[in-house]
This record gives sequence, C-alpha cells and structure tokens, in this order.
Amino acid sequence: MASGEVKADKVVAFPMVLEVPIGPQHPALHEPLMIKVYLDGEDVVGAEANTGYNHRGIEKLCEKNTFYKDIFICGRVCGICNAVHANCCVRAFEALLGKEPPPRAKYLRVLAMELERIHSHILINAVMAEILGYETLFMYMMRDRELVMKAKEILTGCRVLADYMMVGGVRRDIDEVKRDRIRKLLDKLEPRVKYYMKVFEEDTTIRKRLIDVGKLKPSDVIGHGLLGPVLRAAGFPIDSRDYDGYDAYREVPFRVVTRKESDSMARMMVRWEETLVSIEMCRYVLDHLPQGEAVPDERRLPRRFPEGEAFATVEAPRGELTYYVLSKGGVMPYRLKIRTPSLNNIINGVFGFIGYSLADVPVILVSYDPCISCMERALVIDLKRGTRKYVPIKYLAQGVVK
Amino acid sequence: MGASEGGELLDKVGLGMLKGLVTKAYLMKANDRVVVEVPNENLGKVIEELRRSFGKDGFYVSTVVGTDLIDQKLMRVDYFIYIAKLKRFLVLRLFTDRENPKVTSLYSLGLESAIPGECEAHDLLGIKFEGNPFLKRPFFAPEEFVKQGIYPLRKDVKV
Amino acid sequence: MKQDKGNGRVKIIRYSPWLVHFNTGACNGCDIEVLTALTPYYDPERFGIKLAPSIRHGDILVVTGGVTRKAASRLKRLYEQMPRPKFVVAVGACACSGGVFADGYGIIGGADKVVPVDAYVPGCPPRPEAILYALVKLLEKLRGG
Repeated sequence: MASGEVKADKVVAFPMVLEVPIGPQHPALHEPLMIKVYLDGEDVVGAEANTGYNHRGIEKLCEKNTFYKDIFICGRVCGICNAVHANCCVRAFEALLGKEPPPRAKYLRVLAMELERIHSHILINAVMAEILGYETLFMYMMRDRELVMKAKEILTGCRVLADYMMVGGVRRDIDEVKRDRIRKLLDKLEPRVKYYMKVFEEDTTIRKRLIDVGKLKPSDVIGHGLLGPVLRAAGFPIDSRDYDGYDAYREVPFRVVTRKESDSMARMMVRWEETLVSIEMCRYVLDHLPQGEAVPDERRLPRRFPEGEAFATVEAPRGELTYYVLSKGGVMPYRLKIRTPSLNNIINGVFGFIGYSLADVPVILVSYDPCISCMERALVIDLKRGTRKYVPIKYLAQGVVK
Repeated sequence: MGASEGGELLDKVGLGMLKGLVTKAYLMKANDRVVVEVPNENLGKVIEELRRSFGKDGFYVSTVVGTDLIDQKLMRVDYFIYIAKLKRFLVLRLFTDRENPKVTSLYSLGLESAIPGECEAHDLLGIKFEGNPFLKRPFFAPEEFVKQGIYPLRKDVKV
Repeated sequence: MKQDKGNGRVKIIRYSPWLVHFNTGACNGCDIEVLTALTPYYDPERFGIKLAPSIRHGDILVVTGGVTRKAASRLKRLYEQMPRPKFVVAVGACACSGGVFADGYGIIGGADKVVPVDAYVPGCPPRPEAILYALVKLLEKLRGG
C-alpha cells in the first residue's frame, strides 16, 4: 500500500464494495472502500485503499446465534459465492463434531460449488466485457449464465442463495430426471463458454486492453497475499481444492490452472479455463454419483457442540476463503472468524495500479474480481483546478475522462 | 521447549527448525493444522527460520484471528501461515495481556500479506500491532463505536 | 407516499420508468438478481424499464440490502437528489426489514427507516420475475390513480 507524498495533479477516488463482508467487511456499500488513485496527467503514481467500511457485524451476530442458524447467516455473507461460504462453515462444524458426510453428499456438494464457480466466472467476464464497452457481449454472456442458474435451481431449489449445505450432508437429493436436465444444460453451455474464451483470446481490442495491463511480479503477488486466480495467473499452483482436498475433490479429477504472464489477460484466461475444468468436473460428478443417503436427519443432529477449534478453507471463485471456529461447549460458538479473499485482494492489491494510465485502472480492478455491484461511480478530483465530479467507471475505462 | 511430543510433531511435518523457538506444538483437532505457541520476542526469529527454509516466496499469511479470552484475562492472536512446499498451514499462536494487548506486527518483519488482517483485529478488538503503520480507526467499525472507544468484538461489549 | 403534485406528473413516468439501483449493505444476492432482471432474458424494456445514467434522471429507486449507519445518510441524500415524482422499491428481505442481520449492530433496519417505500419485494433473494412484477404493479397503481 503506497501512501504519502506523490507528485500528482489529480486524484480519482473509487467507491467500492467488497465482496462479502466477513464480520466487518461489508460488501456492496455505498463507499465501503475508497480506493484512491493519484494521477500525474494520465499516469497513476500512487494508490491507496482507505477503508470506511460499513460492516454488518456478522461475527458478533454469529456469537449470539446457535451453530445451525449460523450456517444460514454465513451463507448470506455473499450472494455470489454463498454455497462455498455455507460449505466452509459446515465443514468447520463437522470437524468440531468429528463427523464425515456420506459419499453421495460429498459429490453433490462438489456439484453445487462448481456450478457456483461457473456462474461467478461468467459474471466477472461479462462485467469485464461491459467495462471495455462491449455491451452486447455482456448481454450474451448473461443470457448463457441463465443456463447455469437454471441448473443451480434444479439442484438446490434456488437460483442464488442455495442454503444447500447442512452438517452431515446436503439438504436435498437429486433423482434421474434432474440429473438428465442438468446434464443437458451443461451440454448446451460448454460450446458457448469455448466461444467466449476464443473471443477473449483473439479479439484485437480485448487483447490490446488486457495484455500487459496490470502486470504483477510473482514475488509481489505472493508477498502481498493475493489469492485465487490472481495468484494462479502469476504461476503459483496454489488451490485450496488441491492442498486441502476436502469433500470429493480427491476423487473427482481436476487440475489446477495456472498461467505465467500475470497480467489482466492471464487472470481472465485462468477464469475461463477454470470454467471449462468445472464443467468437466460437474459431468464427472453426474456420471459417477455414488448410491446412498445424502440428506441427514436433522432431528438427530446434536444441539450441543463439544469444545474445540477448527479451521476450514475452501476455494471460492475469488480465492481462498477461510473459517475459524472456536467452541467452548454449548449451543453457540465462542468465536467465528471469516476471512474472505477480497479482503486481501483489494486492500493489498492497489500497488498493481501504479505505472498504468487511468483508463487501465478499472480493467485491473475488475481483473481482481471484486464485488460486481459495487462498482458504481468514481469521484474525479482535479487538484490543479479544484473541481470534483462523479463519473461512471465505464467512462473512465473507455478513456472518456481525461 | 520441554514437551517432547511437540518436538516430534514438528519434525514429522518438516518444521523441525522451529523447535527451539516455540513453547508448545500440537495439532488442531481436525484437518491437521499444526499450532505452535510462540512467545512474542521469538516471532522475528521464527519468521527468519521460515524464510531460510522455504524462501521468501514460499509462504504467505492467510488469516489473522484475534480472540478475546475474557475468562483468562488474555487476548490471543493466531497467525495462519500457508507454506506452499509443505502444502500445510502453520498457526503461530501468541498470547498477550487483555488490558494492554500488543504483539509484534508481521508487517514489520517483512510480510505485507498480514496488513489487512492486523488492521481488522486492531479495529475490532483493540490489539496493537507494533510496527504496522497502517493501523487506524475506523477501519471497519461504525463511527459511533470509534468515538466511544468501543471495540465491538470484545466479550464485555454488548451491542 | 402520495404524490402531492397532481396526476399529470405521474403520467410521465408510467411508460418509461428509469431505475436507479442503490445497495445499502446487501450481500449482493439481490443485486445480481436486479442486474439479471435488466438483461434481455427477462426483457425489462417491454415495460420501458431501464437503468438511469445518473440519479438526477431516475424515477424509481431500487434499494437492496439492510441499511447500515453510514449508508443511511447517503440513502437519504440520494433520495433527496431524485427529482419528483419518485418512488422507492425495497428489494429483498434485508431491505424490507433487516433480514437475518436485524439483530446485529451493523444494520439499523430496512429501507423504510430512512425513506418512504412504495413497494416491498420479499425474498432472499427474490427472483428477477418477482422484481419486475413489483415494478409493474407499482406502475399499475400509478395508472389507477
């Protein structure tokens, strides 16, 4: 994080919303996080993140509710990656209890989380297309994302907030009819994803805007603790599904996607490739679902949890998400800590803007995958003339504001 | 360190170089997380040993958890560090007095990945991380709490 | 909240209501459903609904998320910046009443603690069809009187 005296004649402040609020963080708030970018002419000479977060006080709220209610509260930390939040919470509780879910439930959990990864990656790529000015591409991608939302709805019962995970398994099972429907939706989706990936790889304008923009040195990336696709696009094969191997990830074949270039194009490409890998994984899960029970009998679950602590990690679409639970016996947790990947990515990632021009800043920001709906408008303060005006971030990215 | 079972554990997972610097080592109940209790003055040496064994790019600070142990009149800070070569998490556990909680900041030891977690723990629990110039209030907590000097996550605070 | 400036003004927005979306502290679940409701799959433009480029052009303020303290003053200011006739739609359980976070210290309640709300859309999150339905019902109510 840079701070202090830089020679600048303009300051641009981006009000941003962070992804899921973990405890303190709050996603999507009007100005929860202010990223200030100091400009000299058009070049960025300094950047800092000032937090003025609005936070929902989730961690304190979780201490006041029972363990089971906390699963539902934690699922609502982020709407876009709610399945992974609930999954991490549930696995931390299962570790406290020493319970393992049955194999069928593990496979279904993987299916829910991979579907979520697909929809989140398509969403951020659509936002990137919109920022660059390709509104039609954005609309096309959102249309195809609807296939994934339908698949999620068939599996879990809800398009967005799945509420699918429960201690000891999942809350719904699927039958043959639903399996076929999900399979058909994935078959329809795959050629479209391949086409979009090709568009990003080959279109001249997208290449010019993304290649070599926001290039980060690998030692800077890991030194600042950036996570997820940002880390993997710098060449580090670090993926929570690989090192923790939770649920069925040791049985469902998958590979960790990495790139070496560590610029914005590499980050978006990592996400597209991960989408294709996820589609393969979903197919594998649907074809190899083990028999047996998947839904636990919720009435038999223990009310009181034993003493102990547990630390669970999960690979959310944006990076590594961690939950820490401390229980002192009783029905409510003593401490529940959630650390979302955007906390590290956004606060520590501002050094990536330095040296690039103003129009590149929204592109780099989107390539970190922050919360989408947060990116509303930026405040441009011209220090020389002493003027302030609000500009939609899209206009900055298209170079409309000088 | 006295306890031999802790030393064996550290050797088994490949962290034997920390044996002389920690007071205790044990496994967290599930998921194989290795926890070492480190006295505050040894924190710098522990990080140096980690750097020497795994390289500067071989690990990062994943999570910083502050816990208010009001019954024991202590504050506890856990640094969860992910070591890429061992594919494993190491938890550095430090205890500090609850009345005036302070620990050495990992940022001052060269780990920038600790900044967000430390700022958050400072804002919500009041733990001072010595050597971190970015600590400020409000970071997350609402402004009214900052004005009244309230740390919302402390156990004696009713909000 | 009734409009006190006669029916003439209200007729103007009936056929092309422009939306301004404001997130006062949501988890983004409702936000992506609002975003989805504006895509061609659900075709909001058949009702004339689209996203306004700035708050000064907005007719309907769509609020998502429970209101946190800091956002409360901003929400009020935003509402005052909108030119009349203006309406507010609270989308999602958090905007209606605080949702699951109502007991915490971060959220002070639903959107109606700060601005007068004309339509509530319950759900966590509500489907895009439900959001469009609420907007259509609001427009029909305006048509009626």
